[in-house]
Amino acid sequence: MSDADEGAYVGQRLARPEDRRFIQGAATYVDDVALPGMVFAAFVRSPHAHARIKSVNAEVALDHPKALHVLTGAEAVKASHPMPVYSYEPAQKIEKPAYPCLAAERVRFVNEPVAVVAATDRYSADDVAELVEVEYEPLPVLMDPEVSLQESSAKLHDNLPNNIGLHLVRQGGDIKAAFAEADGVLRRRFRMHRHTGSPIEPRGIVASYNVGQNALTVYASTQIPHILKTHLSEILDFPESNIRVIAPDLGGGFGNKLQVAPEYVAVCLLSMRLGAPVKWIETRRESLSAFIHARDQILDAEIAYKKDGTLLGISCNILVDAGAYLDARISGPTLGAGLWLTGPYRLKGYFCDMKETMTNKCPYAAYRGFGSTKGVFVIERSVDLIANELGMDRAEIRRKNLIQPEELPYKTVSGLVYDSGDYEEALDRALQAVDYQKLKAEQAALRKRGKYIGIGLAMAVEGAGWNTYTAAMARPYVPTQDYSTITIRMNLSGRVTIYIGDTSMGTSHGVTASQVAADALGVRLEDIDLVEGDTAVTPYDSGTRAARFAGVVIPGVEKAAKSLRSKVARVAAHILEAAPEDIEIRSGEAFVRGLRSKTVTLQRVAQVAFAEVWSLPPDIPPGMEATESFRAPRDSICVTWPYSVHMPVVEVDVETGITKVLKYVIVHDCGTEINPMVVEGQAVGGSVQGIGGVLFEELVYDEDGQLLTSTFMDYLLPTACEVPNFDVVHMATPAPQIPGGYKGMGEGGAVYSYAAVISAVADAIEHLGVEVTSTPLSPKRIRQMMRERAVVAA
Amino acid sequence: MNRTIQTRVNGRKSIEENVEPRMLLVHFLRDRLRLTGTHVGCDSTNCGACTVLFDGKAVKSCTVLAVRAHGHEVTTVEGLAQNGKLHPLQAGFQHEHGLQCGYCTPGFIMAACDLLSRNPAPTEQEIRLGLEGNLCRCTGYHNIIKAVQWAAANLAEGKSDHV
Repeated sequence: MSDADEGAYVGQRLARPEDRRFIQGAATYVDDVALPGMVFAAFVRSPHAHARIKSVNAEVALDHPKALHVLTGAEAVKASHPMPVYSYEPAQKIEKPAYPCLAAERVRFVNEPVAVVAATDRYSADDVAELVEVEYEPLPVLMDPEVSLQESSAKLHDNLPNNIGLHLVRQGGDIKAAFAEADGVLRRRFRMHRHTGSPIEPRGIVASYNVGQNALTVYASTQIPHILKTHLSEILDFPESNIRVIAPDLGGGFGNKLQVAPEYVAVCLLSMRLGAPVKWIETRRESLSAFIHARDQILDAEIAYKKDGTLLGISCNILVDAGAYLDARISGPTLGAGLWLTGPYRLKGYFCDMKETMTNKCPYAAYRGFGSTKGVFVIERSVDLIANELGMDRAEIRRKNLIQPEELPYKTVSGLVYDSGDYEEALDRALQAVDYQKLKAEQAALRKRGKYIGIGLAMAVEGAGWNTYTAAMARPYVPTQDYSTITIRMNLSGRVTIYIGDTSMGTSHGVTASQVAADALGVRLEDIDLVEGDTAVTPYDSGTRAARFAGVVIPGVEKAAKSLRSKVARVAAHILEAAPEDIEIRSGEAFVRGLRSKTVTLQRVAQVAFAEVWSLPPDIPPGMEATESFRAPRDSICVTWPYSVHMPVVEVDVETGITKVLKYVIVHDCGTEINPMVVEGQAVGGSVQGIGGVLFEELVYDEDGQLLTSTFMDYLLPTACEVPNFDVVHMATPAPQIPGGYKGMGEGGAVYSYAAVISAVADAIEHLGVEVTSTPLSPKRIRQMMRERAVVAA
Repeated sequence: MNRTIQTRVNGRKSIEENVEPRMLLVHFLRDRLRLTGTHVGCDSTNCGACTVLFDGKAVKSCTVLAVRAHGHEVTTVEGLAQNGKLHPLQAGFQHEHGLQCGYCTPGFIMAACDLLSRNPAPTEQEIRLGLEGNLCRCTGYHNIIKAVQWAAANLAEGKSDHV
């Protein structure tokens, strides 16, 4: 089948067949799983941010008529190893703060679990948990990451004498020469505040231990079924072959659900104690206070430039507020911030020092964008500020520094190897789509009337698919390479099932994998099913993460489908008495090229391959199945390099501090597009997370370490009323290093939207004499900036 | 003291004995009737994932006690498709890619049902306001608005006669 074939599925805007279960309420999320004899768990959590546990008394709790068991931290620590941590690259230092699944001696953040109870039903489990008596001796609380670094500060972990959990240093090019050549250096402290992914489905697990088989079956809300299985095996000292993890439908993950949740380990222990299935479903309050926090970084940057606007080098010290323990993923969002400081620009020198500091907050880890949100914010904001200082237009200074198509592939000074595209063309298209010159004139006219609109501009090259984390137990560091292994099987009816070891978290794997496989095989889209997330039936996989599906998993799907196609062709050739190379397969039928009358249905082909094996020549094995692997190129830490230009337009009311996003233009290029409707959905959804992150969402702690924003009444997600319509412009430069030319893009929107929205607000108000270098840009913060300006002016 | 609750859910009579007075309607629907299409996302009436129709009006079933449903009629997302035919809102969400992970989707569909029953031809702004009580973390709402517009247009053309 040639690529130009009519009816090819790749590239079409197709609705998702998998939607049928979601729109009819027939999907299966983890809380929908009900097993015979299942009981319910609830956690006893610390009310203190830092305290010594003096005693845990479960007597009263166990007297509750519906109480089944109480597992304390002291018991859990004996029965399990600490939670894992490792680094994505060689670290200056990585010490593992002992991170137990239940705190045994000390608690280090509010709502850290100290015990888990089991009861016969959901409500009784909460009742029983309330009856567990824990005596605490409060300890001094560390809430400021900079104070945490001071020598005089209390130490949160015995093995971390300076409260630094992880330290990475990276450099490239000649930073000294870059700064020596400079006419000017911009020095700023940038800060992004603490917030998180908050998928609408909280965490949840059903763990079911079978004594007879010594087998543990785990249904979990997770992005990483296979990796979770490997971790559970190590943490529980339990044979990996006897663990089966099933990730059912996932109600959002956004990187947060890459976590190996301590609670999941505790629930597994509980099930093993009881010999019964145990369900735990997190509340929103638990989710916001004890799941995963993200984004919170201080970035002290220096950017050297020439007076003609040429950028020379960037040096940056990054301080990450890691919270109370190091999550397994901690190095990713740290390293991401550092690596993305160079933007899509030609720079001569780079230096970055990255430190993770411990505080009495919820642990910090991955959230869509994986660190790049901060790097992109710093470089894009710096470029704007340099343009302002030099009196240059923001688009023109970028044009001057952008890496050009003929320079690709291009290795940045931070070590990223960009693959293909035309960044300046994307910029031009964005300026055109937003009608930049006209908008600037409008903006000037409106300013005279005291109405402040801002035109945001941010661009970046995003890394999709990370060559990390496939060696699950890599610690402190081993080199890794991402890969996918795909099994594809035709059954006796001629229908095809694809088996993938990750899980779709809204990322449309069903439709996109089917489009690619249908084209490669020559079957109809509706004849393909996808099975994901069950470690017992799918090949090992590193999970749904880092926008790796299109660039790493899809090439595996295509390869496996082609392999199956050649098997189909061999059997069909035998039936049709032709040569395999003369067989064409289209719409579920095989025929001899140029001889449509000599046709056999794939159903018939499958029947022969499975059930009439006696008729096959001995060199054709029975069955109809193929398994193939695709190994990601290792030129760089990431596999493919999509890019975007984002231009939101906002209006800021300086009296109320409220920012309204009026319109939003996205120009993006993710190589060959499998399904443009899915691509747009990802780009827009990720962008709205940036709007929320910059303008609304904030995890606020008080000085005692109590979280003040632990419900959706205080932690404000954007609603339909706070977001604009989006205008998405597509470019498609194939990735030369990937068969099919696909590039991942699921993190997409979020990577750019932070910098873009910040830039828009800055453009609206900076002419009033303020400077925007930190988030959130909430109404309160904007009013505060205006007041401070008034004081300075007075 | 536990109660017996008699309701009509999705047009069918249901009698459930021994229901705790504190049981929430959403848990009654999910755990007792096994209608798991209605989801829980926030426990504080903010996210709307648990939205169902209560005597035809949208309510958030995480803040309604199950005992309140005694003698009343409840419609969940499972009750929308008729004779194997999707409701235009269900079809609209699929057609316009109005969902990604799907967790919030039943709540949006039920809230939009209520909206269209009150206002069959809403403007974009009216749709946004009408769905303000529902949170979606995946789509950015863009395609949800289009899905409701699609459904409104198809309902107006008489392609389906029920909301």
